[in-house]
Amino acid sequence: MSARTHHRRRQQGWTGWRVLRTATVVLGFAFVLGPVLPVVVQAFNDSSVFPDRMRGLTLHWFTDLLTYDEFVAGTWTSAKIGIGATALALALGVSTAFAVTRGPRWMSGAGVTSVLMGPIVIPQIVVGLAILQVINQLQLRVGLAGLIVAHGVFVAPFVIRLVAGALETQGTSYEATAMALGSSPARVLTSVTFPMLRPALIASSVFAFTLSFVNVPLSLFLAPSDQRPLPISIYQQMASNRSPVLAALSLLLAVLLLAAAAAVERFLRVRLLQ
Amino acid sequence: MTAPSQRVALAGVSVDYGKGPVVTDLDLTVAPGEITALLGQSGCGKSTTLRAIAGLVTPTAGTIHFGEDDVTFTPPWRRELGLVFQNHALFPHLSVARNIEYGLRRRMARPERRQRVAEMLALVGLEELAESEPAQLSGGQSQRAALARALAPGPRILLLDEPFSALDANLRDRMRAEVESIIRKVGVTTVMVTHDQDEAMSMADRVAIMAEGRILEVAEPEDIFRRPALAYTARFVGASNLLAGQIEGTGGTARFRVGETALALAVPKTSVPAAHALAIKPEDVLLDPAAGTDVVLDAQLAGSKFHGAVRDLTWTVPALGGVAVRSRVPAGSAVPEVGGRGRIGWRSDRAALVHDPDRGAA
Repeated sequence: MSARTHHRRRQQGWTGWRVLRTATVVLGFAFVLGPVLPVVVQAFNDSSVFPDRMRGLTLHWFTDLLTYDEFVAGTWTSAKIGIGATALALALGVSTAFAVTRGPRWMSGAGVTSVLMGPIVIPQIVVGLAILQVINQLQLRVGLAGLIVAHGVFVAPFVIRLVAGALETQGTSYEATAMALGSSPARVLTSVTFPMLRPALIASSVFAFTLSFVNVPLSLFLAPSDQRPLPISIYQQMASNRSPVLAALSLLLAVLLLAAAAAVERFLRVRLLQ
Repeated sequence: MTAPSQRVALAGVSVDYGKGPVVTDLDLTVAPGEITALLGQSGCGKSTTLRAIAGLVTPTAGTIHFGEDDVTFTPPWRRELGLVFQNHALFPHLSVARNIEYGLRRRMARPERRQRVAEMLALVGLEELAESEPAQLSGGQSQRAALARALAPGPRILLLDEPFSALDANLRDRMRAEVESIIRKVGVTTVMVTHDQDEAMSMADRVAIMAEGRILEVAEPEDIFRRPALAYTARFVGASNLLAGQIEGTGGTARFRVGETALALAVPKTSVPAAHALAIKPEDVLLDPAAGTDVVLDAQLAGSKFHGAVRDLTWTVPALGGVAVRSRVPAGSAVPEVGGRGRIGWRSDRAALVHDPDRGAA
């Protein structure tokens, strides 16, 4: 084989690889975004049957949204739960992240870490059922608190991961330098450690809120009958009265969450989506 | 600015993180205004020693004094330190000026602070970059900013932990000279940790050689290089040949016996009792030695390796019991073929008698 054909073979191999790589990316997007497309189409379809073939374009499903009281109330409920759960998850997650990265050696072991990641691994239905049982057996009247705690515990591992990762990357040299310059540990925390953690704190807040806002399994078990989070309202509407309004609402939610994430990236200069 | 209160003294310091001692029974005194380098390979305990001086670890035994003050259990933020790490650790959320101002916040009023920051910026030549973010600085600039920040509060002690390792080779030489001249100008007592012998030799007044959590010897750079006391130092600092043997005779007639051969010794200024080895640097081993060279040996060339400006040769010397002797010659030198014979030698005043407690163990 001459050097020339050898060279060409190698180039062909290279092209084949590139085609394969592009195809993989395209397929990946198709699988992720494909199922969403029909919902987008139905949200603008001028037909009261859902789903239906295209019968014309309309925006009135979006304006109809406001006439559904349970959706408006559900949005508020979900926002309240989301804010509560995020606050709880930050408190739990940030302190745990410090323990894992700055605490004694036994706290940073693989065993401890896998226990901390538990809430992600254990099926939410099991967790939801378990919490419900405890609440019923103790005959507590908890209102939204039960849901806030459940959501908070569920999203805390994401906060731990992000914040512990940031602390690990930060290392201890910044803190040591600040101490040498005369700052007590408390002042090091407020003047160096937390300001440097800002991106991780913002990112984990956004993730925590989003995960809580869209959560179904935990809410299904724990939502009080008079205060239903938005996803549960949607689910119940879907079961009783299928309407294109649901498609409009889903699309609106997706766009709003994306826009919020983009705004955080843009204005707070934090990487969320990249 | 040099004052007795700037003296650093470690006495019997040991540090143990719980997995055996990292630093053992360490004594070290640094005179006010002096630059001392802790030189050793990674894992020798030099960084831990620095952390103990900084108060970032508490010794399990021993005391640390700054001047007359026992600071063994003083927390770092009350030790009046300057600290510069390898990554320079400039706070990324603060401008260069605010970084420098950081250590002044509780010490002086705002106008004084401004003035001090301006002085420090001028000292390190960063006036133009006062409002820059640390991420925008080059390696050398960030090094200077970190130094300015460390020196701004007028620390008693400056600690440098591998400060030049993050810089590329060209810049490193320049920054060493620059940092040294700033330290000399300010006159602050400095302890630096490095694994780079060039760095230690070129900047420090005294070099402490560390291995396995202990200081083996402390001396001026020339002495460490020319007249090491220990085989470890000779091997680590000069990559010296070590010939194991015994001293015979005394005074002007003293010789060093290696195998069958008695080698000439320069008259030792201080006798080295129980010396176990003779250390000769490869660059002091001459090829076809000229007249006046008092040690000359027949040798066979066993290996030859080109290194750019120099060539490293390995010789087998039958008269020394077949030990290998390495020599370093300018790359253009006439060298026999590998396997060929030649004559090598050295001036006896270039060879140092050293202790070798490990008996040649690497």
